[in-house]
Amino acid sequence: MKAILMEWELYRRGGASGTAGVSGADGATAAGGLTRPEARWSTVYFGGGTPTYLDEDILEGIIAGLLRGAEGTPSAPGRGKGDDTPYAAAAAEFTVEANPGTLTESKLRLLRRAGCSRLSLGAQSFDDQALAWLGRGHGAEDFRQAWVMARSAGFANMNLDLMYGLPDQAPGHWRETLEEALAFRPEHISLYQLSIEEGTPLAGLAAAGQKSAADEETCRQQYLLAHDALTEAGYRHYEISNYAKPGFESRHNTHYWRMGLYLGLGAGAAGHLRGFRYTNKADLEGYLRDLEGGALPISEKESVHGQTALAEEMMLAFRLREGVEKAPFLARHGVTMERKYGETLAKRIRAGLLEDDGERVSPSLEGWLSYNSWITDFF
Amino acid sequence: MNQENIRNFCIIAHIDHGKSTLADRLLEYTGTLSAREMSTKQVLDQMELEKERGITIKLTAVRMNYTAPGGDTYLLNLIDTPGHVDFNYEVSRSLAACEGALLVVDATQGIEAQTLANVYLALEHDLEIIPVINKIDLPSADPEGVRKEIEEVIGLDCSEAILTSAKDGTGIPEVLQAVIDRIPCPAGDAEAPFKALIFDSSFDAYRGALSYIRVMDGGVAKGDAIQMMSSAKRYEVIEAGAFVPGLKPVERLEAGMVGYVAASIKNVKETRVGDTITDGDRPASAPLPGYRQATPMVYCGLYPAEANDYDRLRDALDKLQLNDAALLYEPETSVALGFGYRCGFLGLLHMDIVHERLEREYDLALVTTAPSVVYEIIQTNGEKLRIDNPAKMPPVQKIEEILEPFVAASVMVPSEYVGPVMELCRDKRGVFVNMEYMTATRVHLHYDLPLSEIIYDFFDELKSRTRGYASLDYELKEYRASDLIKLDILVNGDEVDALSIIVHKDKAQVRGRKLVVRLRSLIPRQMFEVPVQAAIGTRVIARESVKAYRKNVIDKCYGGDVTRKRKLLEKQKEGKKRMKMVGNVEIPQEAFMAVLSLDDED
Repeated sequence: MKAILMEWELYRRGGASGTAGVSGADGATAAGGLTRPEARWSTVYFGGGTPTYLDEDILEGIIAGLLRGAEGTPSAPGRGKGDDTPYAAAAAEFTVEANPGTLTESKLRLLRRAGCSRLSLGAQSFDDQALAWLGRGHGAEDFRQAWVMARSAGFANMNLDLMYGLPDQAPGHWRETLEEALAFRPEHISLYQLSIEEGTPLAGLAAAGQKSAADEETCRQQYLLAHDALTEAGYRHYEISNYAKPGFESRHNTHYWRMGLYLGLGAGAAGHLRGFRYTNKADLEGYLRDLEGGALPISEKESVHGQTALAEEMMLAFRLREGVEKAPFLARHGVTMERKYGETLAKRIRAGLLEDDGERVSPSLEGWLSYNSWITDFF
Repeated sequence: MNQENIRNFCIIAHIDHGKSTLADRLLEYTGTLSAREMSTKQVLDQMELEKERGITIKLTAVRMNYTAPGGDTYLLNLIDTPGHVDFNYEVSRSLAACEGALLVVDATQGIEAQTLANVYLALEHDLEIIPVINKIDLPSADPEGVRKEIEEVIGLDCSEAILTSAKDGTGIPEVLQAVIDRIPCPAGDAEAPFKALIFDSSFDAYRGALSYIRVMDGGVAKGDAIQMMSSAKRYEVIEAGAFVPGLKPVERLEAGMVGYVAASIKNVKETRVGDTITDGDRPASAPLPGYRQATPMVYCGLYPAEANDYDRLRDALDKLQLNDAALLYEPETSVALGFGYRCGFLGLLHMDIVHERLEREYDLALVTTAPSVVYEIIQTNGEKLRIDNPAKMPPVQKIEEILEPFVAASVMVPSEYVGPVMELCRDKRGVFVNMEYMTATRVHLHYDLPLSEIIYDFFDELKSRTRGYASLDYELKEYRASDLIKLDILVNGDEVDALSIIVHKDKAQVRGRKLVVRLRSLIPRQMFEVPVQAAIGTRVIARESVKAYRKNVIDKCYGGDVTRKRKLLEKQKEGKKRMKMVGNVEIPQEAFMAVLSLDDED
């Protein structure tokens, strides 16, 4: 706790009163130093691992410490002068990531009190066997209880994580999973495809149990089925792997996909400040050592401009249903999309992977399904 | 220095028999280099690639000043030789600049096929050969057995063979003494007009083309006028020097010495290896005997992965050829690959090395086609064609007969492996010639084999079937008629000329099937299903299909993933660069070499 707050202090002092949450610094700028006074933050995402594992006093300490920095920020939304709510909803969106097994009623109350407006709960599956194999610490019943508990604590904006492409699932199983997920009436659903990375514990398990992720045709069918079922149920497939009820799109994540600037705090955290992205040291010892010495615990820093910035912009924008708007593209880069990408763009449009409505170029469902194979054309 | 105190020699050895280590010890013992300077691997193997692979590709020379125990000082020039069969040509070049050779044989292994071939080459050049039995420190060393083997197989008197351990330094003074006592000193005429043999050349950005020379008669110094005997072109020497190692200017190079001259020569082609340099004003009456032109045995197409690198590829080949006379190339066009070059190599290793040097030293991304030998086609109208590219084969109805190169191959192997080796040779269409017992446990097998089978995977197979104990040597013997046909590959219905191969009729079916299976796994999925077919003429003999590309792992991408994801995609894109668009299909570099690794999965 101390360390994160120390890191936060460093950023704050480095650039006067500019503030940011664990991540999500809208308009935070870094000119030589770090943040500029006029910077303010609008969203906070507390995740990366499971913050709800923490004991209540630590959890409270961190949030309090972070939000204290927001005090005096002239236009911090949701926090008027004289507001004496302990920490107040300083951010327009303040998400906390949670795993079902780690939530208690009092933690949930604490989060609400602290201004947390959005909760993201990882269900992954409702099949206990699959959950056990995935090494999740919870069962389907734990998830149900946690969800209901969070709702009663007052969380009205909740995300549910689901995973597809799991091994050994009967054909009808995925449809049932989707139906079960919908029954919780989440405002937001994130859909992830299982991928077994070499060297992870899961890879070991997969090899030992002779299991492998579902084949690509199955994954494709599951992706399409999810699209149909969730769209039917009133969700917008607003990003390649995210769905939301209108108005409940994650503001924080959309900020990432729009190349927004943000501060990342904590070991292994990544941030994007003006002109560069950085990643903190992932090993806790090194991270702590730097902070104790009064240094930012950054392990890698890469300047992002020119071709690199454009590649990132395209890579991220085509994850969004909106894709790339032509007019702002021209304004930003001084060249039209058509001129910049020429035949590359035309070819992908002819193939039906991208759609051009005159105003914007956006990916089709087929385009998303083969995203990795064409996105580098825009690099 | 008096010629009587000069010795020029080389070392003949099989790979791993300790040539480079022995050379290092000689440099150290003579004080040419200190142990500290020697610290990084072998000094003679200068090329980065040579160090990595532990082999010698280019010959290198080095001069040692040695004071013998009697107090006399000598100038010893060691001219390195490559050990691989591909570079036999370079061996004969070093031999011509020497009067003697150390024959180094591993005391635990005995004579190997290539050593034998090189010894015969040395004997043809009338070199004095000093047998050196190395690695006697190893527990399994059998110096007596090896001594007997050398006597019986080569017919060399081994009573004065020197026993060494280059590793621990045993026998090094004895080797130096033998070099002085037994190798004849050069016998040039110091007063005659300057005359030198160019045994190698290289290009130096500051000094221009350098000629590596062995001075036969007379001498040369800075400021002298020289001329090349083949072209009668005149130059002025701007620097004469010796290899110490590295290039070091000297006052004068005299008869019997080895060194280099720089003469502001713009193009290495003007210092042709094998040519004779003579005095510009007082030319020698006749040139020295030159070298036979190296004949490429293996050809392949080299294409820039990016079409606009074509000019850079030509420049790079031009530069490489300056130091590698055996490399041939001429422009070629492929429907599938665009503009590139057909290149001739001494063998597969040579090809591999040129390819790697082009990529490393000239930063080129290349697509290479599978290697081919040169076939002779007798057409129905009686005309004879030589083709080095299967795509150039005339239509079947115009072909009367196809001839392919056969080599006389010799394999030395412990007797327990005779069975597997004979089986392999039979599989590879070999014709048995004879078999001799070199000793009770070592056998020398002679086969006539099609060269195309040797470049295919013969050597790897031989090594694996004999646990690495067999050694192979071969030389071109003759062209023989064979029942050969051209196998075409169609990708998405289009014939890909760069994938065509020529195979024996009996093997066409199997190879065609394996090739399409292999290509199926190599060609990445496209947006549509891609059929891959093998055909002889219009008859399809095998078919596979690359299923349409559907899936991407659709992964999340939040704040912490952006950089990693972008880098991953960039890497993927880099890989794509190596692909060639053929029609609508992206074909990766490996696909063009697929034919070489067909038996891997058996």
